[in-house]
Amino acid sequence: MKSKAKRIEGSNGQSGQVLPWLAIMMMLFMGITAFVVDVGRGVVAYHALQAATDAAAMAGAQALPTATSSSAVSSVATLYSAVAGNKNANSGILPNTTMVTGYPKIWCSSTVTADGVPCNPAVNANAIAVSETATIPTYFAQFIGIRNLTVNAYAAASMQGAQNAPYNVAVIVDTTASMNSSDTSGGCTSTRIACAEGGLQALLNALTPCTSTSTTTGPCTGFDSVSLFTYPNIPANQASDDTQCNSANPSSTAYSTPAPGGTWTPTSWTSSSPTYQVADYSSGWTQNNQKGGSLAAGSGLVIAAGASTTRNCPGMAAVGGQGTYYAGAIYAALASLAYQQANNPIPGSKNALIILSDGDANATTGHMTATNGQTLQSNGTYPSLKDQCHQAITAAQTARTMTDAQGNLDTTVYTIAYGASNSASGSCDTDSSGGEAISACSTLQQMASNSTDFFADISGACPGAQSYGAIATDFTVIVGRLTKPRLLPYGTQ
Amino acid sequence: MKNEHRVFGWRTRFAQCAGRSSARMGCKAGLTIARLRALAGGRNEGSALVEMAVVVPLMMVMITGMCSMGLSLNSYLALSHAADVGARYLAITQGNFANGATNPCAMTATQIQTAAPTLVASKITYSIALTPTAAGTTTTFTSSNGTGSFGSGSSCGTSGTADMGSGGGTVSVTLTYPVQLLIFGWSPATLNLQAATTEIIQ
Repeated sequence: MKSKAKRIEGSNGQSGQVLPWLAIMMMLFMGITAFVVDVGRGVVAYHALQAATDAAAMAGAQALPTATSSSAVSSVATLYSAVAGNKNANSGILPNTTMVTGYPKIWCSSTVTADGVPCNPAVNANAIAVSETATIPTYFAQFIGIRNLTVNAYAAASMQGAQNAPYNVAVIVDTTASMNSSDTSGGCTSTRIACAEGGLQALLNALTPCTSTSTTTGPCTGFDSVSLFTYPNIPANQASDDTQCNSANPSSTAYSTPAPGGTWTPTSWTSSSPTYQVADYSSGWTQNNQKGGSLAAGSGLVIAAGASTTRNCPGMAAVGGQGTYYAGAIYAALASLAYQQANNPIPGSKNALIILSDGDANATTGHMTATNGQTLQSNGTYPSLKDQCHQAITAAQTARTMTDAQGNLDTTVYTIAYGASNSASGSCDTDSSGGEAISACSTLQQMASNSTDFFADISGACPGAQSYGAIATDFTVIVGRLTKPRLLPYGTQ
Repeated sequence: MKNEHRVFGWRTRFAQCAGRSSARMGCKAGLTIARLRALAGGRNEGSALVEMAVVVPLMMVMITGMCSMGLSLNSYLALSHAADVGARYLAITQGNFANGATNPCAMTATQIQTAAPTLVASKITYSIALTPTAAGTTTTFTSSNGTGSFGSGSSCGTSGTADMGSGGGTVSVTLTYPVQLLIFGWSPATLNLQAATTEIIQ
């Protein structure tokens, strides 16, 4: 025992080494503690800051499409930032947060433009970037000379482009005789009907025809679906004159009167009954089932839009001959949208109704035949030859209370004023004679779901209308409105 | 020289006093170590062990404390991420919930739980403040576990879905999660981690 102890004693010259080592280790431990606590907290703070910055960019992006000033966009973005006093401020984990100088920044991104999202002309921008920085005081690292950690977060978002839900789109195109006149506004140099068809092509190019599971050569599983309506009515069995390459044009018949809020009965294309619908909801309008792909020559929609290159079809004709009355067309299209939504194999789809018209309703006796259990009214209540523009407003505004199976209000009405008059005395004659004058512009404006859903062919044509200078661009912008903001990768130009 | 211990060239006092001769001389300084040695028979045998006996618990407290703190921060990170995901989900989907789901709050809770697999789902407390439209009124739905009817928020379904389509409203998801600090088996406190994210409804 003694010898063992001696041996230890004799060889252990290190007795008492633990405490000095502890002194060294304490410094090391303080370093590690600083790393664990302060850097750990920094990582948490960074993530919180990034989340707040993303939220700020997305909030600003949402305001962009309809913004009239860049400061309005910036203030929305800042409101959702982590800067003190705003919605994502967190004095505990993110003290001393500031917006980096020069941000929020909005700009007209070439990348986003190339993706089919035109810049909002009022602010010349379609994208927003937000950058925030937070200076976090340290607990332990200050003992080794690091008093603060600075974390920085950046996020950019495009104002549109994220597919939110499949859309059922009904397009009502004016095919009255006035559409055969030339467009002299400068936005398009052709007949109005041809320019409207150009808009339809832009719509088809911008919508997403098939789900991402559809291959380029296989069958198309529909995503967005589009149906085409025209007024005046045509016999259903003549709709093929618009959607197939027949040399004949359909003949017009007197306006029919679908029941408001009525149940949609799918059109029987062999019947001679009057129809507003000329092409039923369909999806596979591109050759490769991809968004923006070449339009399929055999698609009824493509043929009606005058874009079937291989068959040299002229597109649908503006048959006219019955004056102008479109309240019935709106009720028919809304009923069809409700039906399509209920029967869409993809749940959660939304509805959009796009109405292109000069808005000047003027049908006279003989132009309207009450159908579907309706009787012609003399007091301006649908269906009536009186107050035709107001009837259209009432019809379009029923979309504001249309709910789907889940109770969601998800039908939006977009109106495009094409050559519409802003004079209450020079348009909507049947309304002025009824004592409540209204202009065609005002009619279309009130039909739109929101003030920002009202478009015009050229700037200044209608007060309050959004204008992008051409019918085709208006359609592209409307499709953009069906999508939502999305975050952009760092460095997007 | 063998009793001198240099730390970065600094001759330590501990080294002086902990040395064999100094211990014998009773290197005064009420040095506990020296006294312990004296108790142990005044010899140096096991002095390192005795020192370790004092130091190891201290180190264990520090190490387990650090681990515990690190784990708490990790939970905080997961919770923060989950709040972000939950708010983004509700903001993007606009209450447009497919597949027959009628309670956006419960759907959001599912997303939150999926986003934070390292957290015990039943311990997360949820508070979802929903302002469906820009000019709307705010309703707060809470749940202590995120399942079932979302506690008192069973009406989240109706007030959430009916008015959110036009966007512009605000959704704020606040999550709390209890984390027990454990230091060497001893729990001095329970931290209530709280993370919140507010987003505009798209």
